[in-house]
Amino acid sequence: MARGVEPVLDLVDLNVHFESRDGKVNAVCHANLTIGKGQVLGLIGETGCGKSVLGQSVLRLLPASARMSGRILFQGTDILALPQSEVRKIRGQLIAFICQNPAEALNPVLRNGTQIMESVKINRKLPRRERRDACLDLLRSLRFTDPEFCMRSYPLQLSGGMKQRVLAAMGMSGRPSLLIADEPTKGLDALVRGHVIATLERFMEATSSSALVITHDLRFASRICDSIAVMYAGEIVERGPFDEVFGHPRHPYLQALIDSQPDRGLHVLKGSTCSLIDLPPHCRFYDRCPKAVQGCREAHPETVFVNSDHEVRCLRIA
Amino acid sequence: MRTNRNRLIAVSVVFLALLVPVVFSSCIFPHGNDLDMNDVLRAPSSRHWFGTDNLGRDLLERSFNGLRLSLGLALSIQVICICLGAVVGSVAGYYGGVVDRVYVLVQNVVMSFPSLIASLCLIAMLGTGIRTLVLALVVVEWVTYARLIRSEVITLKESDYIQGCRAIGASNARILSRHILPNVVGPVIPIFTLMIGHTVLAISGLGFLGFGVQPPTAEIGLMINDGVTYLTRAFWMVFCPAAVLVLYAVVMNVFGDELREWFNPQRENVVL
Amino acid sequence: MIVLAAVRRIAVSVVLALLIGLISFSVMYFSPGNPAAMLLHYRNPTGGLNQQTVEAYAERLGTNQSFFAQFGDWLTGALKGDLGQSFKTGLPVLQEFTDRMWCTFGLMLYATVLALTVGVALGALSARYHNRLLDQIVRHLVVVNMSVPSFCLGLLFMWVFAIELKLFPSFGYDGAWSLILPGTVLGIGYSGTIVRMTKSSMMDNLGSPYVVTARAKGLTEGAILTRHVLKNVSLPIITLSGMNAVSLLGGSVIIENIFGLPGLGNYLITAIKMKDFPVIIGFVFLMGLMVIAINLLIDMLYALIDPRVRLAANEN
Repeated sequence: MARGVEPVLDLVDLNVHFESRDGKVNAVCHANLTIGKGQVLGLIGETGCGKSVLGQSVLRLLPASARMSGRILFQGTDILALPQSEVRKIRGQLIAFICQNPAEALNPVLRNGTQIMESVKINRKLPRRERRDACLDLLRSLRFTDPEFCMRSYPLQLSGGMKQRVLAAMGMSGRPSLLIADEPTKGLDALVRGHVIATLERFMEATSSSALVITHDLRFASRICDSIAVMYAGEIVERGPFDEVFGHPRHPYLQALIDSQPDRGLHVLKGSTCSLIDLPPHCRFYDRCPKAVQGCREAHPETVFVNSDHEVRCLRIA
Repeated sequence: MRTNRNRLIAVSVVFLALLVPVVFSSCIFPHGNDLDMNDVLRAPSSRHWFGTDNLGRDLLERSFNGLRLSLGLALSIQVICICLGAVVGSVAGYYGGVVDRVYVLVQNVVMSFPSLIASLCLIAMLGTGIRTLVLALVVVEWVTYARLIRSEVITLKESDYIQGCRAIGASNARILSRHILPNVVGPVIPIFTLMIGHTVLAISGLGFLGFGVQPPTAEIGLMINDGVTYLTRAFWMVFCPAAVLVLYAVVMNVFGDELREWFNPQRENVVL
Repeated sequence: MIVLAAVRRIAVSVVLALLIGLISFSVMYFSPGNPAAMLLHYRNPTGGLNQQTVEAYAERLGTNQSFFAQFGDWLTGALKGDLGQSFKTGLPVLQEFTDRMWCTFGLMLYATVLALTVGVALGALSARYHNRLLDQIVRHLVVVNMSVPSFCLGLLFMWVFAIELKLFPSFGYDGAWSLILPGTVLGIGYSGTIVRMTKSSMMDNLGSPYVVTARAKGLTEGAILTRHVLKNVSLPIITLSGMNAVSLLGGSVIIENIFGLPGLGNYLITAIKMKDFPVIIGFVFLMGLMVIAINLLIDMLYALIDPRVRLAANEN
């Protein structure tokens, strides 16, 4: 990434917590992320680590019980400081968001065409007659063989992969500089993974956007990401260019994650994540860490740079 | 979780405390049927807290007597309904096939018809009285339990541990009685509590129309019906027994809701 | 196609209607008492029961035939629109029904509209202000609402608004104005379940992924509510309204009784007390038809809104 060029997305000390009946749920703590122009950043982590919350927080899509602090700089502007009406202008137009679970991300009682036309209407100032053609063009660019059928049918008549592409079409209708894809391979067969990659690549080609791809699927990430960030229990524990981080993983969690892959021997990491309400004051990975030492129980690790752009949050490395 | 349990305990205590004057009303309030023609239609006073009716009977005592009767009837009715519903629902759900289809047809017919009218017709056919009252309400209400238990049984019978039971050769009857039915108890208990309140209200409704418990037995619906004639002169005849009825119905509904919350807690929509 | 599903549905409804007719007929058939003797008693209350006259009446009524013969007679009559004559008035049962059904329909319609208006409004507000003061108040009101039986509420309202404040007539039917008070009582009684259903349906929908997608598109909250959420939220409310409408038929019985309205329920009670069998059987049958019609209507409305139902029907 060329220095001096403003990053598309820059998260500065982002914190997100939820007020719930059982207490304060700390979903994201002190997150720092940067995505440059044309870059694809993969956000990796297991279920419940907070990656989806982080993704949704960029566009302020979280429920009312969420409290956010820090800065979310999109092309220099802090989204958290904007009034609601300005955020709405960014949504769909400048930042596109594709929900996880395409099966439920489309409104089941409205036709697909209605929902796509809605996006086109907001994002492009076109007269009514041209809107429909624009929708059909979008669908064709995503390799729909029968876009007319797609338009007049309902979501339940489409396969999972097709629904995914409809969501992509809605996202493409603006000219977004950033795409946030939340778990794009979730709920889809492994065979379809290739199609999803193709869809995302087509999207970014058509819009020249950067992307934040949230996933737990390491294989998928390895095929599409330029850089990755690994999350654990709400914190980013390792970050850097993909090849560097994967070639030389430093955080024990990432190492365990890689080892647990089927082609590396399926070595399971025992235990489960700590509670996000009663957070331990020390390293959150301590209870499961195979390389923990006494010092790891005494302090909370901050991030340190291993290389010029490879960061790790681990007391043993410091 | 803690607040749930505390609330449940608090509500249970209130409920049980309120049950005492009802259950023991034959000892505490023995004068419910005593006529006193010198004391007719008296407004509530320190001697008669709820006033007296057109035959000089103390309304407070009568209300609690009536409530005791209604509560006892409601309890019996629910117990019969649960037994009937459990047998039919579990057999229909477990064995499926023709039995199940016949049951579903019966269920649809019973549920699709207004229950009050169905009860009225049964009472019309068999005459008034406590036995026909019980029968009329059982016929209308057993389906609630049968439906619930059937759907639970259908869900449970496909579960892994039931398959395991079958694999080791347990008979169907044994699986049903030992393994499936005990797990059905959970959802049934809160429904049972809520239905008791519902049945008490139904009994009073039928009593109000003259088709339930017959005079001179004390019953709140009947008392209210008597009171309507004197609504302009002695409104307490209607509203004091009604207040008792509503109070107990509220307590039972709150108790039932807390039980339901305890057994199936509703989780908030937290995104994670 | 949809047509096939509709035809099948109507066929099932016809079977149900016949079943209801059979059940109500058998209920009366097996009840104690001799209908011929009763009819004779009606015509001539003070005279005695001459055995020959009773048999002559039985001959004329056909009540000395077998069960199936009698049911057959009744059924053929019913299909032609002849449900017999009332013992008491001698008028055709069908006419007694049609004379009174508009009053009951008016009551039910008004009550349904009121229950939906109040219920949906309070439910939506509860969802918007979840766990805040408004929500807590509404929740407690709903519990009380569901614990107050309709006749208590009816008598209370009658006492306050008709007798003490003299705003409405307390008894009898004098045009639409007489329906307002009883209709309000009925409507309020049924709004409790609608409040709860609306609130839970709204909260479920507002938290679902398709709303996140809609927000991510940049839609305003208002547009999301009206264009996306409304249809989905209304589905369970429609089903509930159908069930409520059926209950309302029963609920109207008590309210008509209290307010002295000349509706179906009130007349049915009179008929039951007088053992006017043709009326009882006929009314129960016709009410059963009404219930079936309401259920059909609700199903059609539901299928209109929810494509999943329509398309699943196609596949079958």
